[in-house]
Amino acid sequence: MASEWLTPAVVALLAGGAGSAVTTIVRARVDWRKARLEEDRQPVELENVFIGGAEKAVQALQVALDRAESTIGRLERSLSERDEKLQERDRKIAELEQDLTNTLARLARLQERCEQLTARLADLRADDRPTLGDR
Amino acid sequence: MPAPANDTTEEALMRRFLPLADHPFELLFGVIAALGGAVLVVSGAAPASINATLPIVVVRAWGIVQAAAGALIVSGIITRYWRPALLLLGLRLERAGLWPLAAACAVYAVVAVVHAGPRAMYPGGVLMVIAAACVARARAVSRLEATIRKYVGGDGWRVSG
Repeated sequence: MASEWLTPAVVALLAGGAGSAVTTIVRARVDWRKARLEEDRQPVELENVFIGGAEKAVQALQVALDRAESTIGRLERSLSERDEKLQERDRKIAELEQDLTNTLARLARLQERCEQLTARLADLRADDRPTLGDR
Repeated sequence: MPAPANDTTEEALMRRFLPLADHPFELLFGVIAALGGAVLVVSGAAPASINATLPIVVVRAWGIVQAAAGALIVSGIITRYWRPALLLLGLRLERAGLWPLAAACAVYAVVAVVHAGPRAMYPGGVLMVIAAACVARARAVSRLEATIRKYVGGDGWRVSG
């Protein structure tokens, strides 16, 4: 009959399950007692855990800061290059403006000279007419 | 998770226990195992296949193991949400309950198939799958505990970080 092997198998299964449960609970209890003892005796170790965590956090922050610093440096370099290009462009514009001013001034002088010559020519013509009339 | 200031006590309690729905299978199988095992131990009303094939002492032991497994699983899951600082204790209680529940389910599956033959293949298969799921969950919980202890620095009892 099947029950000949069934009962021992069932007992073994149940014992295995119960044993695992008891082992887990006993181990949890042992860990708890150990943790309590360590808490009572060596609070410094707990502080070291926190300090170690803080150190790791600071290191991670340091790495992040280094990365941010290199990014800022790269951006600053590209900004200064762009500034130089802008200054060069401004300088060229200023030179062109200066050339334009000089040209306008020269043009004004030539126009003034031209007006003077026109006026003188008119004066000369006016001077010539009475002379002819006198003849 | 701090509750808003205008929460009533009932709302805060509900919010605290709402995440229990994250583990419906573990929780509900734990509840059914605890209740079923307790009823079996108290009244002795075991299933027919179990009664017919096993001695009464083993039947009682099966009921006790089942009830204890269910109680451990439920208490483990509730502990985690009731006191989040006792996360590792809750996981350990749940793991402690999963192994005996796997054993109890496997026992029922084997007994049902032996007693009823091929007619019991489907319930036997379902029970064996539940047992396998219990073992898989126990292993997953074990790995989770190890990960928490490694990264958070739990001391085996409380989560210290």
